[in-house]
Amino acid sequence: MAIDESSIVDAVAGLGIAGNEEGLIPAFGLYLTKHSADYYNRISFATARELEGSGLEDDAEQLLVEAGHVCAFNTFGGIMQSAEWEAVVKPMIETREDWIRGMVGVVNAFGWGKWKIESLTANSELTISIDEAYECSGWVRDYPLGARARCYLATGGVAGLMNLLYVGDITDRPKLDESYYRELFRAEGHFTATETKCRARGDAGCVITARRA
Amino acid sequence: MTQARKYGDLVDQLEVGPLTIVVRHSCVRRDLYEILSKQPVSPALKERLLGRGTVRGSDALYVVEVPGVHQITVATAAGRIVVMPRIETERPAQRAAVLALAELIIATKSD
Repeated sequence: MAIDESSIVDAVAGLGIAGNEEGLIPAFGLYLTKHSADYYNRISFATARELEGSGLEDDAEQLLVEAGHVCAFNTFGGIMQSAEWEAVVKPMIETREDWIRGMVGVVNAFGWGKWKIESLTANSELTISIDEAYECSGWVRDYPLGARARCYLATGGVAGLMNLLYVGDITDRPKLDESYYRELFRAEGHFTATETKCRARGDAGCVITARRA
Repeated sequence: MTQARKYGDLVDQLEVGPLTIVVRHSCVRRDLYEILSKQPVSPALKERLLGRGTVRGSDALYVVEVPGVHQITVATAAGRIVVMPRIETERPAQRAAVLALAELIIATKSD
């Protein structure tokens, strides 16, 4: 059985995932925070903009992408170990690459933009295109177009997917602790990602490719 | 000095009849619980939980929101039940509620 994204979206939508009175969204074994996309955007973009002209622009970008690595490790990793994943996605999984296809389905169910796998070469390369990515949507609305891509969290997320599958082994349900994080994201030949197209630069959509460092 | 527990650290593992309950540290105020059954969860459990709160999802995967107590996620075929306590409940009450749920799961196995 191939991954059927629509069934993932339907199943997740059927759970009525929403924030509670604690300001949290308990789902997929995680406590996700309930806040608007702009809340995160404003913080990350303020950081990046504060450092413009300082010579630390690349450092700011790396820090914000690193936040995406940590997010991918904990959030994607947690989702892939969850009861929801086991009930909805795992029955459709036939190959290791299906774990990535399934996770992209969950991302789309959550509405973090419309992700599409443009190409996936096992253990080598992943290219994801994103329509209506929430990060650059916020940038385009509030700030002028420029030379830099701005989908920091998504960029870290794409690299994170590959590291979870091909540097580590999320299919074996490892403990997602700091030691394992370092093993995945600091290892020789770990994956890093680059956003080659971004609406914040005037491109029609966003494209992110992860390859081994 | 005792090292503080981190998110996901194993706190306890209990055997309650045919069920295994895994308790993990979530934060200073609550733990996360996972109830594991070697058998699929009985469809009767969903019926019994209907009276306890709001139920959403399908027969294969559903979520029960018990106001002020916890959220229960049931993956029926996998026999996995995840319980995420509300922060307003104290740890002893969190555990008591999970143990009561475990008893209900056992009771519905023969339904």
